[in-house]
Amino acid sequence: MELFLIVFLPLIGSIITGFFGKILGLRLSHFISCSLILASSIFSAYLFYMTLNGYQTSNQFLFDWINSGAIDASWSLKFDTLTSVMLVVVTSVSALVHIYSIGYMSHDPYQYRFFSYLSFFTFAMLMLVTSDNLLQLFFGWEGVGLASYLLIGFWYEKPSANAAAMKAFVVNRVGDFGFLLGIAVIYIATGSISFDVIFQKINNVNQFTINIACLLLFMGAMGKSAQLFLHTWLPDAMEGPTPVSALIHAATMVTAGIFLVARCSPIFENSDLALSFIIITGASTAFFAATVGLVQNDIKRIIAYSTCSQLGYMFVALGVGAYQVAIFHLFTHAFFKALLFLGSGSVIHAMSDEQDIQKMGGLYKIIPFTWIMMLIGTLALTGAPLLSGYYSKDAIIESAFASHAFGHEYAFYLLVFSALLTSFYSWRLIFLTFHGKTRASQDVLSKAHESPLSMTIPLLLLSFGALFSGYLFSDFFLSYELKELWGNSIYIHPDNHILEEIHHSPFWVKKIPLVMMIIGFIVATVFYLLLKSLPSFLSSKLPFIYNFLYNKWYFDELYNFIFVNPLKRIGNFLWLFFDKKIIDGFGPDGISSLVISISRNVSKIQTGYVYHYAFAMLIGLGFLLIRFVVY
Amino acid sequence: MVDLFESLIIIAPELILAITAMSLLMIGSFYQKKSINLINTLSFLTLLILSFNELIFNNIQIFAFNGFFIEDKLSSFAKFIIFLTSALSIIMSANWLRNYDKTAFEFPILILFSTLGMALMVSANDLVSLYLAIELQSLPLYVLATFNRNDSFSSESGVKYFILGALSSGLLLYGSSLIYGFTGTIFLNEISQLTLSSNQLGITFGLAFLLAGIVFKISAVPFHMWAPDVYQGAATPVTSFFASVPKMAAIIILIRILYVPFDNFISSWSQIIIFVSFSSILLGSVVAIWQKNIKRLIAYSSIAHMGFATLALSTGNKSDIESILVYMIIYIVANIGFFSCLINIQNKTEKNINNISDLAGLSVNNPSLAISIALYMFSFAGIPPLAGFFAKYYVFISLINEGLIFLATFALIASVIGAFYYIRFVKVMFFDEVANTKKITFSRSLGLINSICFIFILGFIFVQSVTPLANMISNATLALN
Repeated sequence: MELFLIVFLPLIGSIITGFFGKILGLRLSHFISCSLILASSIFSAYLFYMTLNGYQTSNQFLFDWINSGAIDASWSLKFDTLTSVMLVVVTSVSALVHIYSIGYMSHDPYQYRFFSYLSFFTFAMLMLVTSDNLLQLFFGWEGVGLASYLLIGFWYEKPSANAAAMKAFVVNRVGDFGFLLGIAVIYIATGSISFDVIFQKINNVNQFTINIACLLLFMGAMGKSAQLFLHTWLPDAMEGPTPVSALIHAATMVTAGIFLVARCSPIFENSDLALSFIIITGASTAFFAATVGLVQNDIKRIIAYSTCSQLGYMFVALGVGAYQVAIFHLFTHAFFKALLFLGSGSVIHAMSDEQDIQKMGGLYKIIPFTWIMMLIGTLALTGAPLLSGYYSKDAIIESAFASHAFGHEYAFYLLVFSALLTSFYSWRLIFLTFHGKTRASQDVLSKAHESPLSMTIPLLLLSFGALFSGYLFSDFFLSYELKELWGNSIYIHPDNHILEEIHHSPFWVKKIPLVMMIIGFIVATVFYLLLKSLPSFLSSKLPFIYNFLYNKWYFDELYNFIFVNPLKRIGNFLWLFFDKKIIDGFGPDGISSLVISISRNVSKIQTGYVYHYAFAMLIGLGFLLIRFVVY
Repeated sequence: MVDLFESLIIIAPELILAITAMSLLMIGSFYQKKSINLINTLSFLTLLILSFNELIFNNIQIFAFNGFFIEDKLSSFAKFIIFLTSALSIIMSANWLRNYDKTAFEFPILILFSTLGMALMVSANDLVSLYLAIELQSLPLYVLATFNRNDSFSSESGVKYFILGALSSGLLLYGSSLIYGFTGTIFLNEISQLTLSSNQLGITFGLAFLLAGIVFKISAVPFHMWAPDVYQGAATPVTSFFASVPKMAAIIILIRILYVPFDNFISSWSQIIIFVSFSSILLGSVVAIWQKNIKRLIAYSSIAHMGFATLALSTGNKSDIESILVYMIIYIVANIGFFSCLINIQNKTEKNINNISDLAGLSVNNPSLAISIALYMFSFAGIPPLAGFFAKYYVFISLINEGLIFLATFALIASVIGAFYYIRFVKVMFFDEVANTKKITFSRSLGLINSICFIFILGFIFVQSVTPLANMISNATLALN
């Protein structure tokens, strides 16, 4: 029952605010949508608490969806430990973002729409994580994609927002296509789309098919979770309102790919090829995104690349078979990344919608609360001891080291180096924004103010998550002894002992992330607090590297050249020549103009002369006689 | 055979109608314009009572006057519809007549005489009574066409109608004489027994002429040329009458002629009917697109509709009469509904409303009128769930059951073309710039008629299931077996 309420309360909230928001008024709509999500998150917390005390599983059948021939798909809610973790992440971050949005969106005339989309997103995401079959998961998958599209393009008057929304949709479609094919392969191989059946029968499927299915499913995950080659939409998605970035593009939707792989662990565990592919892709993404994050100036874009990079970390953990570790990082990352995004939203709010950190500086005096929150988020992200990121990220690096999978060394070294980069760009953001002399105009500064309570309280709550979630739950996620709690929500191959092995990794491996973090911090301090001319000196001396990073490794340009422009040209040709000239010309337009000209000409026969009419009658009669009587 | 007295009883409704018409004519010529309300009321009541009489007292099959006259379920049903729609036509014209000159009282009387002719026509059982009945219904129609005497269009249309009508009567008579010559009888029910032993070519020849005469009355191609001019020239209440009642009578007699005496010639006449309906649908649908005058457009639309109705005849299957009757009723109701709106608009505005463009912006000032017209147009176009959809649906089903897939496909395409000009009404009324800013209210009688038609068209499935209509139609269909 709780499960049912958790999933459907947000949908009710979405319908109410979307259709009746204007009637109910602003305050009541806010109250309804926030309290419904809050109720949902309280239920989730309750279920999570139950899970911590013992493995729980349940399957709640709702109703039949498709029941035709061999396909048998129903709507039903699956609950197990994995779902329970996802539920608590999704609903708690969503509830806080809802509350935060009351303040952040207070000047927007279309808030009803915003809250409706936000609640709808939450519903779709919950549907995704509670699904018990691939088709329903795909429904949630597309639902979150739709919500993401709508919310990125929320300010549809801005052309850049529209373009970003479309880009997110199109790039995701590439991934979704792979995902759909993957579902088809699995269906053909096992004859079912229900997880329980698939996982039972997967052992009988041949290796090649499993490899193909896993690679295709991972392609879907790459799209949603913005992994290398399909990552280009995520930074652009920052065109949406900041609460959206926090909820969808940091804490929840982008982690759907992680969830998918974890959920399908019984399949992936059988494919060493796919796992190695995941390791290499994840590590490359982590490194790539971290390097690009070094030189960006838009506060949200930096965090977006950081998200991309952290998702890479999670995939490495999945690839080496440490699923719990990946989920753990997903869990902690949701809190500190949402904190960072909402904090940056608070900065943007204070700075009259300025997002360029080159035009900030010295803000810690003006918005001290936000500064503290951002510091906590940064410390958690970079992996400062005892904070949440310290536990989860270090565990990933250790598991990459401990693994025996192909590519684990590549991943280990890249991840260690990325930890340094992460630390550097995070501190760079803090120093440029909050420290040093201000570069903002007096006009903006005079208006700068600390955010209202509805925004600061969610920040405060998230900061608790960022501070303590790692310490409190590390045993639950990492301890080899407590792995019983996960039951069979995650399948681990009998030969896979990675959870145990990471506890035996050498001392230097355990300490190297901390060392990297300190190096990154020191370098950033030197660059942006002590020798402020050094960054511009370096960028002018090494323009090639700087431009390469600043332009995001030229991925957008490359894609435009290889895919977008040729496709546009083909599309233009088909539109102008094939569709307009041939189909319209001979089809609708041609026929309608033919009909009109016939109509006009036949009207002329109606001369108005009575002898013409009589003549027509006799001709007609004559025709009838000759055609039908005589012959 | 029944004796004279019984024959008089059988024909009593027609006798009452004739006597009423003649007495009202007397009253009218003495009291002139003062009597208009009385005459309107009396003729309306007479027709209403007679129509209910047909509803209640109807016989299985009975002949009068030695077989000149037949009374069966089909004729009763037809008379019910004819009397009722004539009565409605009289109400619809009442407001317009009050502002007309001193000869206004002639209008209801002419309608009564024409209705009498139609009533006899659907009950005619021999070629002579058929001819006489057709002439009796046509002559008042010629006069009605010219009723707007001061308008040259009206006079012109009356003259054209008369000349062409005379020509068609000539064709009809010639056909009748051929059939009589080759079979030796004029009774419809006897002809069918004699056809097999007579000269086939001669009879088919006569049949073709006979059909030409009747098809002229339903204005199907190629005998349609009079319709656009007459519809446009005549006063709107007259057009409304033309578009509904005589069509019903002519369709019924067409059914009777084809299925009673020429039952054995299905293969010849079904070809003729296919040609006629085929070309009517095509011409009606296509040419209407170019029309700007509302009534002229309705003329082409009615040509197309008659094509659809006769299409179900082409199967040569008696059970398909049912779909023809359903089609006709729905067509007539939608027509009356549409004209009640149009007459109302014309009565209440000083400006002449002749072209479709004059309706621009109707939805702003008179949403109820605009919505009603839109509904009738959608029904004409055959949009589900309106009645017009079912009308076409039943015809298509008849065709498909008989394997005439090609015809059904063609009719479907033509109805798509036709949808264009019906929906143009909606476009003009709802989306064009407002041309007319005056607020128009429904007069009570027209409003009532409109709302009845509206409900009928909108809730046809419901109407069909709660009223005995479906039962009556299937009884009428069985009358010819």
